[in-house]
Amino acid sequence: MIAADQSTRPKVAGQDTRPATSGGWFSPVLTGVTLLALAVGTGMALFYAPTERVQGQAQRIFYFHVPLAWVAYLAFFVVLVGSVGYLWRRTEGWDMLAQASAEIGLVLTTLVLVTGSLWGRTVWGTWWSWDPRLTATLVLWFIYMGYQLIRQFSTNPTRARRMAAVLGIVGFVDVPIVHQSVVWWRSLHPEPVVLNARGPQLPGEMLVTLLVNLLAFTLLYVFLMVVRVRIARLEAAVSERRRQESFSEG
Amino acid sequence: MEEGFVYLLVTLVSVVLTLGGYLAYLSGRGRAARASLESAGQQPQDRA
Repeated sequence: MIAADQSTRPKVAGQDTRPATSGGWFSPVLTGVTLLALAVGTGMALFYAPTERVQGQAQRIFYFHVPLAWVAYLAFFVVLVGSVGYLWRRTEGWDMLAQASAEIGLVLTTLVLVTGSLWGRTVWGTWWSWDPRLTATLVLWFIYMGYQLIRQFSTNPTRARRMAAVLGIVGFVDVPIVHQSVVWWRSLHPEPVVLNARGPQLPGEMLVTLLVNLLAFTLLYVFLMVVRVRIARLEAAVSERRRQESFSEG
Repeated sequence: MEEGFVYLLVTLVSVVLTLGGYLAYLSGRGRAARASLESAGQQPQDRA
């Protein structure tokens, strides 16, 4: 079966056409390390980290919510880099990098909002508040949803790439606003407990658990990027082939 | 069962389902693109 697949698969120069569902696309080492890190991180969050005195079990949401937010920032930073690279070089590789990272960043930001809402319900007694941090995060979500809509519905691909790149650069301005919002304005949301001027304000076991989960979600981001960029390359190969066929038929 | 534990469980389920759903979506997109490429690659042979 595998041999038949390989014999019929067209060879496209510079394109990775290995299947998304087999070990070919999901690199076994990266997949294994990512799954292991996620399992260890989740295990530590549930069984190793001490139970917080005031919030109880609900505080453990912190070990997922915060790494998701940090990795979303990373994803949008990569969008910024890819967007600058595309506007500078006008090559497809930079654009693919930005597009892939924006999509993953949007998924992660959705999870940040969902996990934050669940945590807020237990701690503040409400699912949502128009608090500066929450509002700035929602604006971030809308910026990158807009980015996806430009990609999806524009009839001019070149113009869509350019517009998306501009949005990818301008939109990143909201990331430091999200992070600093709890410092700049009065907020329900707690101030940063790790990235602050006084250094980490967490007990050792909680800090280690947070860092392990941060590593796990960063690996997950890398894993998703590898898969997403490969799919983008494959789709580009399909478009190129269709363009060549329409030329030869015309 | 403590209420906070229920919210923690819902959080874990939300994360797993969202990421699992996204991976399934990517897998489907990859399969569709690959199928397009394969069928395009076979067309010249079919015509011959």
